[in-house]
Amino acid sequence: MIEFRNVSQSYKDHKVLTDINMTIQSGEFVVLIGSSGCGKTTLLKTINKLTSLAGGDLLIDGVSIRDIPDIALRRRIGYVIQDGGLFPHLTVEENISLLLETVGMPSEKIPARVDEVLEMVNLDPDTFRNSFPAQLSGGQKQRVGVARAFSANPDIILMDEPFSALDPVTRGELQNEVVKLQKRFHKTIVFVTHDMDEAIKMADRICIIQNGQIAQFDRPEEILKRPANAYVEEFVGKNRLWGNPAYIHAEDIMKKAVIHISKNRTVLQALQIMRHNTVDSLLVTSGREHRLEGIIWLKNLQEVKDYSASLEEYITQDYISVYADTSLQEIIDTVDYDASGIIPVVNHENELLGGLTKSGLLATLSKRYRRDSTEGVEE
Amino acid sequence: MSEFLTQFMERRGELLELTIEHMEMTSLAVLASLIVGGLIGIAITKNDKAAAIVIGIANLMQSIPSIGLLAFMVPFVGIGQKPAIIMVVIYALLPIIKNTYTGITGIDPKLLEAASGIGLSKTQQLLRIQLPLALPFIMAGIRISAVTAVGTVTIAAFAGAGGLGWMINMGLNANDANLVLLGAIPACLLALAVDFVLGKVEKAITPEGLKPADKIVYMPRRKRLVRQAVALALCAVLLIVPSVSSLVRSLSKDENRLLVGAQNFTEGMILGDIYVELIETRTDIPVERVYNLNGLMITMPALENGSIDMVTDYTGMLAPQVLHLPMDTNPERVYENVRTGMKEQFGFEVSEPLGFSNTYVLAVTEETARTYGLTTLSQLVQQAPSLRLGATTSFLIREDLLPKLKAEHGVQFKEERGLDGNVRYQAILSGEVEVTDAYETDALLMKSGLHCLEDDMEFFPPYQCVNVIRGDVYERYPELREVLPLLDNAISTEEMREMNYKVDVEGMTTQEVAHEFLVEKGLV
Repeated sequence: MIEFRNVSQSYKDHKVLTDINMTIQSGEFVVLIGSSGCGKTTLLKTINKLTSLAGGDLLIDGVSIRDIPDIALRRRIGYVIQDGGLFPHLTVEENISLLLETVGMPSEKIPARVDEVLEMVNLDPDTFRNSFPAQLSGGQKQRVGVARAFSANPDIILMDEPFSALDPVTRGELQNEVVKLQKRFHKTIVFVTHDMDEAIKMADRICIIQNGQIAQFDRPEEILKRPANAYVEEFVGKNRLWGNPAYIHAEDIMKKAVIHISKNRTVLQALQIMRHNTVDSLLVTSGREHRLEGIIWLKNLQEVKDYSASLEEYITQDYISVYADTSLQEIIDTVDYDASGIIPVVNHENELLGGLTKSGLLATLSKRYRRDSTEGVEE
Repeated sequence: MSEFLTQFMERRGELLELTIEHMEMTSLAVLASLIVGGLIGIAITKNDKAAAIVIGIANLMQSIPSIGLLAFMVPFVGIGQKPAIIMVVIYALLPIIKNTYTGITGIDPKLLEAASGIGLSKTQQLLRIQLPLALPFIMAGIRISAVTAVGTVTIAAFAGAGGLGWMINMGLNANDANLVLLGAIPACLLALAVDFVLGKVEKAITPEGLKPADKIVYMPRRKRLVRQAVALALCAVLLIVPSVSSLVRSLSKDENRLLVGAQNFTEGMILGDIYVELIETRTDIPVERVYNLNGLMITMPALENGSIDMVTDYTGMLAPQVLHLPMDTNPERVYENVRTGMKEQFGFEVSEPLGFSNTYVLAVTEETARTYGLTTLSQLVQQAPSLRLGATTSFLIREDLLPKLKAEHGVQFKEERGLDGNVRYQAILSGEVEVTDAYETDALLMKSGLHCLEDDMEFFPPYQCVNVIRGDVYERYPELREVLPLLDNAISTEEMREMNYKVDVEGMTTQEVAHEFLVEKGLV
């Protein structure tokens, strides 16, 4: 657990960090993000004392870092920077074993551990063990950097924009792998980036820094849906949410006023409502809670002779409903594009909350792409 | 060419010794610069301001003329190898400081941050990251220093340090191009060899990973370390072994020796050898030759601080340049003033004149002498407007020489040309000039059969040769009171000129000539 207590930092007369208070839980993946010069890297380096703590206190597992010698502290914390921070005169193996030697691992155990961590980051030890950094691609260097950070098995790993120089494909792969490793080995990772997509993809929680202060520290979804202030909103980008269909749920895009009819009504009443609203189906509910009972279709009522008959016997289950917390992704996957009509949105008690129409879905999606084409430049 | 080869065969033993001595001095100087420069270079990486100041000073020192630096140091540290090595160190320091500094500060700060970040201590960073990465730069600095040092050490001969510069210096003074080459060629080869070997070392210690990706060849770490270690060991052997031998030699020097100095020209060395042999045969005093001293700016401080015990010089030099006495052309008066002056100001004993004088003369060819009826200086003064003068620069500018001749006697030559060394003999023999200046005992005067004009005007200052002795020499070796005066008034101008001729023209060594003279005079 890392606790920031009123952490402050200044460079000359300029305040870089002001009263940072935040607690990072063990095993949590926290991304620090903000525009350049906002203090995110300074905040990261405060944790391993590459920047010394000026004001306030920082506790790791309850112990103030002021009470831990710099070198000892750093040996307990993994550190990855852009390009992996590999030493060019050492081979891949030596780059990792240098660190293992300094943390005091017995030398006979080192080669096995080197192979193990290389495999962990999907590098074949026999191929890469004896390579020099100059012989590696950017992605491979970064994998070695990550392997080195994991090698001494620290509880905490700090990553300072590790993937920003990589091409999108490699970056995507590494992002996935690092998250997997983090979950698998239950590491606390503090990760600095300026890339919001990266943050959303990897973080358990995102900390948005604005002028040396925390603007918002929350789960990605919350930040996307409920930005704390205009800065966050602008930083996140209004359209960002639409780029992450997993975070958009049925309730976010449903129409609340959806036409429905009680199952106690008559055929005549139903026909009148349909005609009045020019629709070919009606949702049928019961009780005060509007429990969804089914649907009636116009085509089934047209042959009915007795208009005063109860609707009940004409109700069918010929429809697809979604829960309020179903994601846009799933909705798109489950929608039957041939069927017409409305998609009811219900809660887990099957009470009708609203409805989605295909035209409404189309409007939602097209809104995203319209924004992209006009605002995409800003990203 | 064949003459050069003969010289080489005759002097090859001496040459080998000088080469070894040269290497020793170079190694010692480079080793010292490496230690001092390396530490300074590392130290100033911590502070930009200090770095700017230190590198500025090192640059400045580099720009001091080496001869000047050498002369400046002699009064403080004496003569011989000590000032020479200090001088070379000063010149060798800059490339090492600069390259160490650049090598270390040129490392990507991101790398050092990574090193700090993964928990390397400052010392580990220096040893494991900074030095290995800076090593090729430092080695390149050592290489530049060593090559420069080989060259600078030749200058050191002017303060009696020996080495190949000794040969060059002798050649320059004897106007013998072969001797100059005999010193210069080995020095040049030595520089090339040093460059080649250190270049290989540099390549061997360059970390494999710093090469371009397609040139990298993997070697197991142990093999790489061995290769680096071998290269560094080779380098260390090259630097340390000669240094130690040089140090051992200088430490094992017998303090209780009589140090006979000699200036860096044939006559001075013949006289030195005469004194050495005389003392060695007549007494049990251990004697050591300290030769090739470059003029009064070296010999006087050397006498004062005891680097030498005696050296011959000329009254016409000592009076104006050491004692700053007014101009005087009376030989007896000048001698007397020099003797008392040296005693009072420095406590030095000045011997009786050795007999010969080595003053300036003006010389013409036999043919010119006949054509213009010239036998004396006063006749020349009359004929000057129709004659061309080709003289040494010092003759043209020294106030007691040509300027005085012009001011007091209204002499105006048809043409005046500054010609140094044996160029002026070639000029007069080929008829480009008619008059030249010479020293009375100059061997080349005899060789070229020039006619010296008699100074019937007492114009030229007297240049009587005397032996200048430290005051404590007679206290330390009272027996010398009987021995040294044996040479008083013993050598005539003609005898001296002939001895110079035997060395400079006939190629005998100064020791052989000295021995021959002593035997002839029945002194040994």
